[in-house]
Amino acid sequence: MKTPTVHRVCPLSELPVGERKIIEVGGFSVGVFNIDGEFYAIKNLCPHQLAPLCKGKISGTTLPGKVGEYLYGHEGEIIRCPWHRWEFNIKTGRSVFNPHRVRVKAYETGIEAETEEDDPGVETFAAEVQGDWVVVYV
Amino acid sequence: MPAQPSHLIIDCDVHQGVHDVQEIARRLPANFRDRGVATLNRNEYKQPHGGDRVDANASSYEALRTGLLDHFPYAAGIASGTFTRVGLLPDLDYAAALLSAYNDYVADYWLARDERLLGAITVSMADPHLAAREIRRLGAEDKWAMVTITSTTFFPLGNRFYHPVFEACAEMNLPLALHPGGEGTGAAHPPTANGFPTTYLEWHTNLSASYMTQTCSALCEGIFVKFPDLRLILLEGGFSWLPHLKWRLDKNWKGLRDTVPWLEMAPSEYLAGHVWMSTQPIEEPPGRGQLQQMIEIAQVEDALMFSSDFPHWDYDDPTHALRPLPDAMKEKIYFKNALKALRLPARITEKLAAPTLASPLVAA
Repeated sequence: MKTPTVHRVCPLSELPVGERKIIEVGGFSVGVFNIDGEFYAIKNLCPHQLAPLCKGKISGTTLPGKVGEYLYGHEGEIIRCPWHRWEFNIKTGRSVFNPHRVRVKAYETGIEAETEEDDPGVETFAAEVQGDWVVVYV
Repeated sequence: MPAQPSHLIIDCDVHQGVHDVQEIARRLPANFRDRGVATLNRNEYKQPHGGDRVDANASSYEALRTGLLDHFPYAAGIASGTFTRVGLLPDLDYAAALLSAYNDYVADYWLARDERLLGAITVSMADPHLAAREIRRLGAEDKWAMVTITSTTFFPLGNRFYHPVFEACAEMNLPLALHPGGEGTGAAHPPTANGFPTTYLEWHTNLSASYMTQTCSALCEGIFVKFPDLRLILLEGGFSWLPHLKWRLDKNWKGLRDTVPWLEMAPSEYLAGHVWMSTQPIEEPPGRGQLQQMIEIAQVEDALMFSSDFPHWDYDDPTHALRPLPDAMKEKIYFKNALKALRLPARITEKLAAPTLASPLVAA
């Protein structure tokens, strides 16, 4: 795997909390997100039918609960595909609908063995602030 | 730009919108002008995240052209519209007048702009005689490829009440396409035999059950015996339920044939050449090869037609939706089957007969 190179995204002032920028880097499209001052980047391609995922709505989502109970969480961390409304966690690139995967921590420490087909996810990239600029490593 | 299929596409379900509702309103007869154009909101069952793709729409010809017709190698798209649910309005004369105004608007604004766009004459099954009159009013013009209705009807589809519509369709050589969306809304029956499900998730999934009852009725009531040239198209209803329906129906028929003596062969044998199905929303079984297996088991290789449902949220992408299927099957589904099911003008069929288009498809 080649070493990621740094790409400038935009001045920090152009990517406020809750917003996104979609940029072309390394021959493909990447979405960079500001979630509460932390920056995350995922590939702008839904693994289902290859829709431009990062154009979707940013929101939270319902968490597992008892029957008839609606617990809402992950506010601002979920991107919903503009086509078929599949949900992905922006921080991890993981799809939300896979059983037991809503808790990000659980998947990070837990289940690594599943195939890509069973666990549709989106490629993630490191993003951070350098001086007054948001940059992404692709 | 995504990888392109190397052949042309006929898309049998394209939802052009209404660019200006006044264009329909001004075509209403004077007595209904104050009534205006009915709003067809489905408050009972709304897609909570929006009914259309976030990144595309078809509210103008330009949007449809750039988002779909020019984006993929389209030979034809059938403009099936958004008005089938008018067939659930209780005022039958208003419904018929509104649909005539709508059909004229579709012809004038949409079909006149692009020779790849062909029309679907929208009619209400609530008054079969008015529906037949509309089919005959427009049907001689080759801009129309089919007739379309809402897939929920007041009687099961094969009922003799509807035979005037079948007669008109057969006479004009136009297939009749059922489109879902009205189930459980307006004056329609509840969307399931067990009443009203809670969520849009359940409602959308149960639409297939509506198609099962309609298919069973069409086969048993003998409409393909009475109208041998009649062709039905089941849009958005799926097809994986078909093996069960066929096997159960044919099994029952062996002991109950005497109750439908007009059938000259087992009910399921009337499907071939009479009933076609659209692909979208394509079933996505978990196992590799299972979609192809299901097509083979259901014996619908010659009956499936590609549809995108553009620009709705459950749209199928023309390049990626049929990826798991072998090339020969794809070719039939992308356009060959449509040549038999739809009424297509020579300008379209000639384009598809060109030898360069028989080349193998690019594996997506």
